Amino acid sequence: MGREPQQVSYTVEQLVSVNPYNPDILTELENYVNEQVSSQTYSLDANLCLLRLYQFDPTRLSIAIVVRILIKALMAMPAPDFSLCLFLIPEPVQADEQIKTLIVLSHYLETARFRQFWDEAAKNHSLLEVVPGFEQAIQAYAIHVLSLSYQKVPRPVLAETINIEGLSLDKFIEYHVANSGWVLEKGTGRSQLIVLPRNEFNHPGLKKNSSDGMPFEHITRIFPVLS
Amino acid sequence: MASSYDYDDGSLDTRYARPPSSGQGGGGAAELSYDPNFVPDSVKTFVVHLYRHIREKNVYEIHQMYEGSFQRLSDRMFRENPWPSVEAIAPYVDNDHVFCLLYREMWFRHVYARLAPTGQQRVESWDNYCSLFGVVLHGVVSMQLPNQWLWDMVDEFVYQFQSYCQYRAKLKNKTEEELQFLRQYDQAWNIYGVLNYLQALVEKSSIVDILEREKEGLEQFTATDGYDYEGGTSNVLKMLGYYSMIGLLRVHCLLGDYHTGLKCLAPIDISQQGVYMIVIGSHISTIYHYGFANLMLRRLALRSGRVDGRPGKVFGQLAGRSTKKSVRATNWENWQALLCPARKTGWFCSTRSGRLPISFAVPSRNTDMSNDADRPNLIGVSKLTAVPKSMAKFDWTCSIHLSIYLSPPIDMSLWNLLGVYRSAWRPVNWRPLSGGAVSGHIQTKMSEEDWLVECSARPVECSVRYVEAIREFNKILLYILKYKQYHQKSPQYDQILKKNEQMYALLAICLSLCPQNNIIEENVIIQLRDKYNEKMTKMLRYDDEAYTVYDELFTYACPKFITSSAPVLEEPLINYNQDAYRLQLKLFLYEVKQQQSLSSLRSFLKLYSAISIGKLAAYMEVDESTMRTILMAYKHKMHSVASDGKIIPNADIDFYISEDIIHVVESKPSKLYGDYFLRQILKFEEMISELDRVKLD
Repeated sequence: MGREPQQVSYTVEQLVSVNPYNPDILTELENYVNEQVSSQTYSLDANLCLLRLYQFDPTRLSIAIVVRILIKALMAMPAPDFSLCLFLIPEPVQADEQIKTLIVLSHYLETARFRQFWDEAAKNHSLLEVVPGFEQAIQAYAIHVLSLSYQKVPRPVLAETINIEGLSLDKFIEYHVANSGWVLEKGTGRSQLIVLPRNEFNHPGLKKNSSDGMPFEHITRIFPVLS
Repeated sequence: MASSYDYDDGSLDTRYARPPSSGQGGGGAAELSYDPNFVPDSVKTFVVHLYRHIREKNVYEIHQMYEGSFQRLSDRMFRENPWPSVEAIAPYVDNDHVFCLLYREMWFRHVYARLAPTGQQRVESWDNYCSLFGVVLHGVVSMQLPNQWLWDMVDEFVYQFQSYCQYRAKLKNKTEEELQFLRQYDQAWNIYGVLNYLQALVEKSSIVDILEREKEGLEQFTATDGYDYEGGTSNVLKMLGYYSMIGLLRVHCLLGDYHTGLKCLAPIDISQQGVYMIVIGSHISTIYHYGFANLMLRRLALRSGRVDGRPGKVFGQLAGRSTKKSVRATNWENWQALLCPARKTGWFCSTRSGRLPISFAVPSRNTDMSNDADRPNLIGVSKLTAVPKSMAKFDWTCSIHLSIYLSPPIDMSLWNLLGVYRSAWRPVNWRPLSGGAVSGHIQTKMSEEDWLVECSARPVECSVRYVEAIREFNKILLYILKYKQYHQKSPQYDQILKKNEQMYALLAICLSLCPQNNIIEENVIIQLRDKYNEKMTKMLRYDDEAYTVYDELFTYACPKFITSSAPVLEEPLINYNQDAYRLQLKLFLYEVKQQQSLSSLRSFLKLYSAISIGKLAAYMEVDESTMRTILMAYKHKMHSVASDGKIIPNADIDFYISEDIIHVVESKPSKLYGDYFLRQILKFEEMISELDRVKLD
């Protein structure tokens, strides 16, 4: 339509915050979903608004758009966006084959079953390739979970989690060594170990310990008394 | 404990105490002896007085009549019949349009509570709300109404909407007449209308701006309970806007859109005292829906370490100890004027009457307070107390005594700091205290009774706001426990009790999904154990029986979800009022199922400080690769994503893996002595001040 993407998304976001309960904006929101897909952006609020409007008027529901929204939500993990979207999608619609596949994929991701996830994703390549950036997003989520859990992760585990092997994996690790603070180490046997950067989740020392603390607000209650 | 989820109009309505003689089923028509045009004398007096009080803006009287007389008359004379029609009473109130709308609102509410509304009455009620809100939105209303009434309006509006959705979703037994009626009035209680009215009320009242300005100290809203005592402007639009935010949260929960619901409630800070607490119904409804939404969003126990991200939004408190008797300053305006700020930084002083802003300049290393991380550990806030020399208005002395601890390393110059204080007030005599503290004494007015309050400041972190389902449930349940006896007479007592039970069920679910150590208060734990101990043990086992228990509790405690789309009024006619609920239940149980292995993992982790993955896999009878999966799943589930995208840990047992060894980290539970002492201190203080007031002859 000749409009710049920046301009359109600004208007859509405005619509969603100012006038969200309006069936007339439905087409615009659908266009916005397609735009999110093509320009690799994401807006949870706009997508939830669209799903709500679909709920209010099921005749206008478009499965293709719903599938796109769900894939985008999967890419937003670890945020629970996928479940949020599912809450708004009526059961008959959830019986659709494509959506059932996506639910299975989400289940694998939520329970950290990465190997099964990548197998299933490979089987449904045609479904997922409509949304560019899917693989990278899931790999980012996988690394996030690894960073939460591991200080030192063995190479085979890393490979399985992000579904990269051999030379590509070497390149991948190199990239992160350079940019994200990973360090390579020799583990027991001949395996390679990747040391992930320290954060408060995999290094308990860095976590602020609230053991003895009482919330300060509580103590403030007795200050008038102490005078 | 769980009743079957059959929402049935009228007969199972526990919102109000059901009078024993009423037993009308659906579509109850009025008794034959009911004459809508007959106005008994008591009703005549009632409406005349109410009308007069509204015109005279006598809020207290209105409240008495609304809560008291209306209920009494309903009990006595209108147990089985509706009140006289609005046309009959109109002549006694000068046919005042707005009063008639209000009267009709009460009329319909009475029908919903004690009788069973017909389809016709439901649609008429919708029309009435449209007119009423229309009038309010046009801004032509000048009356002040009690908050209880305004809350009831919004509450009832959402309730009738929910009731209508249930009503029209039960198509199986409807007569042809009723179906025709539904076809004809398809616009009544449509979802767009409901949401847009609530949204319009929020916007037109600019309530979000008012709350924002209040945080900066530019507006008095909470302090006056939303009323305008001096100016006398109407509180109706403002309060309806405020309550509509809670109404929107409710409606979104009914639709299953929890994220947006919480966003609608965001302007209200529920970690602070607020107007939503004034009416107990609104307090309970807010926390219930807030907690439920967080439960569905899996935000069971968050700890947010920052308040707003706005610089200067830190408040500190001082312990005070007076050497002489002191009296609280009640005339805040005087003192505020005296504390002329060199630069506004948003510091607050907490006094008994709430949080009041104080402005003065506190330089940091580079006098740049915009970066939270750079702010040194010092706070200088005083508590203001004043000693009246006489009761003459300005004959008071104020002493502000500041001690400031500077914790190293601070490279700012001490003089620099003191210099600022010196210029802000005069005179200042600074003297050093031990431990690197400085204390200064500022007097704004000389007085003979030269009087000090020794204060000391402690370095504080930014205020920590605990925002989570468990904590909020804990607070509200404690509150209800303490105060429910005061509400026994009120018509909402049953509703309060019901919500109380529901919240215990939700708390039981939360604690089974995400066990915590410290957060729950003792009294609440005792009650919880009484009701749900057995069920909670079952739920933790994650076998088939566990899912039944989860199902049962969820069904009991969840709101009555609705299907918002218009009904399909053709054959075959089915009842689909339970569809929405079934979907939410299914997704909830799905989520619970995903956490199945996590509970046994947790119990193993409790036993070890370090264990190899292989060994643990053997104990749990899975292979190593599955073990890794389970460990990562535990980590994922126990860290929720806050609304700003940060990752927050929930679990009390945590671990990290180094190659093949799991190292377990457990946060130690500490005894809640501090809490207990706090409570007792406050209680005794109350007692002592009571005794002080006793005059001995």
